[in-house]
Amino acid sequence: MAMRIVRIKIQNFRCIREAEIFPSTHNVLLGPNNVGKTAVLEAINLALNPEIFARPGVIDENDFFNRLYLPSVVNEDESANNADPADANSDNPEQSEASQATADEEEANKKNVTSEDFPIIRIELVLAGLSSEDEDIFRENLVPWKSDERIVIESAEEGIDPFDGAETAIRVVFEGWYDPEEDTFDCKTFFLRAEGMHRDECQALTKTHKRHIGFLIYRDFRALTRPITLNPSQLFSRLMYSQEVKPKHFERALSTLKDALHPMTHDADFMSLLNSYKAELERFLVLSESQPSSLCFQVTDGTRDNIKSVAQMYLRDSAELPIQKSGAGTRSLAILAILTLIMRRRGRGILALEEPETFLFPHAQRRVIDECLALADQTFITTHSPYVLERIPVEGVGRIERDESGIVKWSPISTDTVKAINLYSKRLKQSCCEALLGRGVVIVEGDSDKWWLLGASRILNGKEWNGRQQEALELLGVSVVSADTNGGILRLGNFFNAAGLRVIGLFDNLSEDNPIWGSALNAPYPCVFLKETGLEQLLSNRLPICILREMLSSAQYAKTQLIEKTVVESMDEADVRKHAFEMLRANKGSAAMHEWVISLLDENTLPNVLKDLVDLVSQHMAGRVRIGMCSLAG
Amino acid sequence: MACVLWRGKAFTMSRFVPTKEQKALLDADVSALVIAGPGTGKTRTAIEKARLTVHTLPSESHKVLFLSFSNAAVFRLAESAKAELTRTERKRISFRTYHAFAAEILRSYGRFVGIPPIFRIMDTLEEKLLLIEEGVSPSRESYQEFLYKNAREGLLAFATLIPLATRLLTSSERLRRIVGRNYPLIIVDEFQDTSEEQWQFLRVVGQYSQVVAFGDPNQIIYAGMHEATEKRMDEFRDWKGVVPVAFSERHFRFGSPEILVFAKALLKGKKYHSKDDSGVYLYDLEFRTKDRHRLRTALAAIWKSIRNDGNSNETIGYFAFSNALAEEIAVTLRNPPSNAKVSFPVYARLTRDEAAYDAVLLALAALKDFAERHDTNSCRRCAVALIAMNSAWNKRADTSAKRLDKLEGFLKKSLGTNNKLGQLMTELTGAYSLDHFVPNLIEVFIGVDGFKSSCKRISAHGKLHLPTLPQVNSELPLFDQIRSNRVPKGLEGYDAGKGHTQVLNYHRTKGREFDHVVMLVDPRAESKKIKLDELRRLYYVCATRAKSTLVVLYYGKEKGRVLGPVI
Repeated sequence: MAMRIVRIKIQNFRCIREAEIFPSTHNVLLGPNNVGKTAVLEAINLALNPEIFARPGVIDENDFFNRLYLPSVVNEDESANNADPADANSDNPEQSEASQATADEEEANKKNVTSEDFPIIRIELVLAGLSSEDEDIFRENLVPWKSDERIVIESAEEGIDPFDGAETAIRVVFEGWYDPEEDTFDCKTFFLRAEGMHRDECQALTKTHKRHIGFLIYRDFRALTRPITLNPSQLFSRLMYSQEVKPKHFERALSTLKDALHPMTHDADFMSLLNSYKAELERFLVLSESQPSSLCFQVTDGTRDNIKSVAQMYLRDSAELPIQKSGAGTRSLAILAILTLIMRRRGRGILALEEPETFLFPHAQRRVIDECLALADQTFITTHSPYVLERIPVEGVGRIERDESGIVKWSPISTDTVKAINLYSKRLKQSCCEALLGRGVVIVEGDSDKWWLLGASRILNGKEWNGRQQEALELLGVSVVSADTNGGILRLGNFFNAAGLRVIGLFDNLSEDNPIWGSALNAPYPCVFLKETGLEQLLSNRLPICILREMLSSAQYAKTQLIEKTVVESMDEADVRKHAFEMLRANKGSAAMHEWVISLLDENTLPNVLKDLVDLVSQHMAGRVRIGMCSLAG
Repeated sequence: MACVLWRGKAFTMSRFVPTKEQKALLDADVSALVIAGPGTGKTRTAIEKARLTVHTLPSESHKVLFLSFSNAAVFRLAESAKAELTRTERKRISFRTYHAFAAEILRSYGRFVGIPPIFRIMDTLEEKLLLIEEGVSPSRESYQEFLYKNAREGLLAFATLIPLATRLLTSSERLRRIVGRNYPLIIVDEFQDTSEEQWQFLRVVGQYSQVVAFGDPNQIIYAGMHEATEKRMDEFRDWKGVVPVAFSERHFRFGSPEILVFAKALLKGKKYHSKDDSGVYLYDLEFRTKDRHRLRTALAAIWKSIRNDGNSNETIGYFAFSNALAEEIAVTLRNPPSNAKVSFPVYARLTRDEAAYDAVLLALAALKDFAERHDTNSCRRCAVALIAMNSAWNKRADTSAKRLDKLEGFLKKSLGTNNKLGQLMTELTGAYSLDHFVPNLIEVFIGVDGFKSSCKRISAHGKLHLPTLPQVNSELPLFDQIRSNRVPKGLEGYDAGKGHTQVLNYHRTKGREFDHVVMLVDPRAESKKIKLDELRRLYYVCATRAKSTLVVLYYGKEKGRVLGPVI
């Protein structure tokens, strides 16, 4: 297996106070906004991007967790003035103890503040799976990585081979800190051979090392405005470096520039102006008498560097446009293509993609992701697009979670849960992907359950029910997925639950000897049972009779024969409900007909059961329903 | 003549034309054991081999490793490489002593044999100081315990480096393979002098590499090594499955081929028929070396005649059997008597372990601390420093606890008195530089029991250039400051080649070369215990150090065991 990141530890970085992540090959970081997805990607970027090198300005105070970059003792005063001091201290008992210390002690503490007391941004990556070429390059800094125990072996008993049963790995650490002497933020990236070594004792990770590791990052804002130039600090030059290509005739290009101004400067009017200026100048200044003198304009010495930034890449077809003035999609793809070409030529790479879907058509998203997955040894992806998510093996999909104290966790959905649902990779894939991108999911048995639940919530949108303002589930980020069978509901429920979503399972009425009943009782998410044995039963029982009559006589898109209006009018209520039940059953798969019926309803005619159901779902998604089982009575 | 561009300047070097055996070695990609006598082009072949290999190495991280047992040999190789290889080529070659290479491996992976990830190396002086402080005898079993206890705490003595690195590599197949890949070619110099410990180390380091070892059984000069070497050659053969090859004599080194003829006569104990102007000059002094005045005249006259020939840049080596004689020669050359025929002083450099100079500095610093502080701790420290100095300059010096107590008493008694030591201490109080106190120190301690011979040696070295003192801005005693800031001496190569005129004892000539060698034969200085064949090899090594002239000075009536049958 190729070199990849097997462990990420982050401390005090942006919204993350602490994180430990064990990534797999292709990783998708899901989660709501501001939970730390980008921070994880940025952390890897700080440690491994060759374009980032230790100098003041790489980090600033906003990169520190809670902007705490001074020792806690000094911060005490600030937090005392803070409107909510408990908030800052709640997660750290030591700190709150310190705040109770007497003034004398505080004074003493202040004097003893050493550089070790300053909070440090610390990002630690273990990269394992080194090839022999990698081992040679990092030979002085190898550590043994035991993948089954997920630890780095720090020492060994005599005579025991530390590398036995372990992979060779390197441990790379980025540290950022505030330097009070210089009043700047400083940082260093280094190899950590053994736990407990100070950064000053460790060998720095050089640009060459980083280039060898080959980490690449795609961020959409990168594609927005900057032109693609030959500037050495730009991505394109990294492409050239990766291919060991240098512009060959650069020197010649430079020398042709010397004459570039000729047509302009040798214009007769222009020359005569220059000459009169020279004559004027000679009134004050004695120019050489022996040598004839003249004034002229030339390109400067700075040309060498300027030209690299000034020469921009153009896209030529029917028109000619610099890349950065093209459409957003073109710009994004132009950057992505540099990344894929670097990996294609090197045959390796660790790739981070931050929302690669931005500005791209669905087919382009699929294509980009497929290529990236094929080329990269490891990927880290954040996305909001089901088209991106559906291309990625589900084993690497996981939700980022952050608790109140800033501890961030991420783990992929367990493989067992994934295996249980073969549905995922087939018909359900797209709806599952969409659900994964949301906050919660309701799993129902059939498609018609789905249409009716969504339809009901749409009708209730903006209306009040059970004393609460209702909102459409689609707007709440709640999806409804149909599972085809009752057993499927449980399996999908486990899957989504493992993925960290809020889940509700919706079942028809089941007999208590049904094994699924028992499993549903023990499910770690609420399961709801309908009183009726099916949706058709529910609808034919509970829809207002006038709606049912209209459906029987004039339903659109019905697959079955309609009944004459006069005949329907003549039926009694029981007969109408009986016929309606049969019609609904015969049109089970007809989305259009169901939608037509739903369109007849308003908040008053909608059965209360469905209104209660919508209310229950939104209550659960807001976290106000305890896990358990309930059955909806009529 | 090949022309090489280096730092923009063109300079020429003679083209290396290999012999048949050398060509075979250069072309082969298997290990080899080469028996190569002095001047057979061993160094040049080795460097050429390294150069050729460097160009075939797949990446920057792969290197050629030169291993040798002594700093001098490593230094000489690196110097030759400087003349013959380009800078980029040299960057791909590591010149290391066994000790330095072992330390390098331990720096990366020592934590897997129980030593801390960050450790310091203690050189011989630091080790001495610790031993004296802790009252450990270097000959007892407790010494091993002392070594490994310190190693676990992050202080590694030279003696622990190779065994620990060997253990580490023995336990880890993966690390052996990584080392093997990083150093696909290992060139071993002076293989005949490889100790058992070094040999075991080489076996794990070179398991997956091509190993080319150069050796010459005729140059074994250490007692009891001859048999061990024979065995080692067999073991090497079994290890890499190769038959030793011999380089034929080509006299690469010798401007005068006659030098090798004479050297061989010494080795075999055969009669040598001298020829005029052949590069070998045999002079009967007609007096014993004890007659320092006449000896000086002779030695200085030779120096003058070599220099008068306009060879001001050529190197001259004076060889004497013992250290004592070598030191006396240095002293007498430097101090011409008033009525001397050659009246100018000749400054000849004596080489000595650099740690020994530090020992003098530390002793002076400790004296200064004691003079300024008067407390028991600094008195103790002072006694330790003085005994360490004594032992650094005289191997046989007494380092026992009893001696330490006695010296401590003497120091205490002298403080504030008007005796010589008391005066020295008074002068040291508040002194900013310690260099010029060396003569006073010698003057005081030459009279102290057991310090005589070391003091004589220190003075033979003339003006000592002691390291500059640290900026005094700490409460710590000066002694502690200097001690904790010392760089361990003798691990990496040192500048053994500096100084145009040098005085060396016979054993130290190993691995060196001089344009002109003056070999002083004095059977009275020779140890009677040394076996005849061993002595002959030692003479052989000395004689073959000369590049253009070899002058042998002897007393006709006492030619000794080696020279006797030859002339």
